[in-house]
Amino acid sequence: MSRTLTRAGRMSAVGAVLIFGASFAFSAGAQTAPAPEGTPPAVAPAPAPTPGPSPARQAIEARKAVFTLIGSNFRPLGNVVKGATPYDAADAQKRIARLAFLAELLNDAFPDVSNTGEPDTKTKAEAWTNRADFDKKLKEFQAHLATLGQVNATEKGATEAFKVAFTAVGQDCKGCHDTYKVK
Amino acid sequence: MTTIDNVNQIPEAEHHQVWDLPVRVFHWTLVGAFIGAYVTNRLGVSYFKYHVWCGYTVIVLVLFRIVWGIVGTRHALFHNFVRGPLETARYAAGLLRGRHQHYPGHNPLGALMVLALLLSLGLQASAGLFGNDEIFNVGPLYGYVSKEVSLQLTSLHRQLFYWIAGAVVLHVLAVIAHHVFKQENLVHAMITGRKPAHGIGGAAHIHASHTWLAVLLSLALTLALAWIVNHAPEPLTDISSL
Repeated sequence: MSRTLTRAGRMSAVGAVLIFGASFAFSAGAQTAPAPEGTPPAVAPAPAPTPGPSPARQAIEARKAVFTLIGSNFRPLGNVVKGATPYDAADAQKRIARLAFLAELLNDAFPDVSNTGEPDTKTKAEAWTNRADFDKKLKEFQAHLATLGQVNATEKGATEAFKVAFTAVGQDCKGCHDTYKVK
Repeated sequence: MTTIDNVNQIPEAEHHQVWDLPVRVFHWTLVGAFIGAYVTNRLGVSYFKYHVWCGYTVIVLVLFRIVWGIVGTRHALFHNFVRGPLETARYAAGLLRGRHQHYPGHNPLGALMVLALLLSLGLQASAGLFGNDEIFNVGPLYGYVSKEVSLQLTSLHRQLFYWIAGAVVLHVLAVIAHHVFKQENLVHAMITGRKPAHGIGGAAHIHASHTWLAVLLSLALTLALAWIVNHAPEPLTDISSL
């Protein structure tokens, strides 16, 4: 007898093909089907944030930068006072103005988070435990800079009054360092 | 027996010369230079020049004393007063037992203090030569080193001071103890150079100070230091115009 599909067999084969084809089409369609309304657009998950300096580190680096600039503006005036370079009115005025601005930045330069101790910072913990005295010294530094500015405006030379006003500022540096900076 | 009461009543003829003039001048000048260095630091930034001068004095004095410890008079020679650990321990133990031990010059413990002070003061002044106060003063040899090295040496200079101060306190207490417990007036001895004969034994006294040699030596050391300081490279000035 020939091996031909019976009527039931033929029906089963057709059904299997239909089911297979339908599921194939269905899965294909599912991949390009638009998302239902309200779902956020599908994006790749965000990469982990690259590790950067901690807030403490940033504060410490920032204030070191401020002090570096204070030094580079203070030293030329020191050379004038020592007699190593001649006095120049415009230069002195520029330096003192910059020092006054930089000194103001120090008001925000010692947040509590930056009290991390050595070796990160050379500021001693006493600067926070004795904050009132520390702030007082900072205010004196700013006040003596203002005085230096006024004296410079009137004297316009490396006179005795200029040297006295300059030395007062230098003493503020040393006094604060002796107490609140690691030796 | 000599007591505190009669130590000054021993006739001068019975005092013998132990310390030469150079050693005595060295000692008291060093005291002045050390105190001067401390005071000029406390007085502030405008006294830095004098602080450096005190440091120069310490360097010349320490170097002088080291050389004098080789070519000087009898009791100034290191060879004659620096003792090994065994004898030093024996001396210390003897002190505690109240044994009478007389050394004409420095006793073994005193020798340790001499060495400790010479080394620490020499190191202190040398480190200071390269210092940077991070305000506007730098040491005379700052141009030879990087800023990092200078700040390390400055830090050493600041911290070593406390050790030296501690040694000085110990030294003063020891001298007072000698006066109170051993009836030895060491301050008087370091000013006049003379000690009671019975305490120092027969032929231990010196006859001459050779001061001329000390003066020549000090002069040579001063000139050498001056030459070094004057030939130091200039420190780099701030290049940035910020």
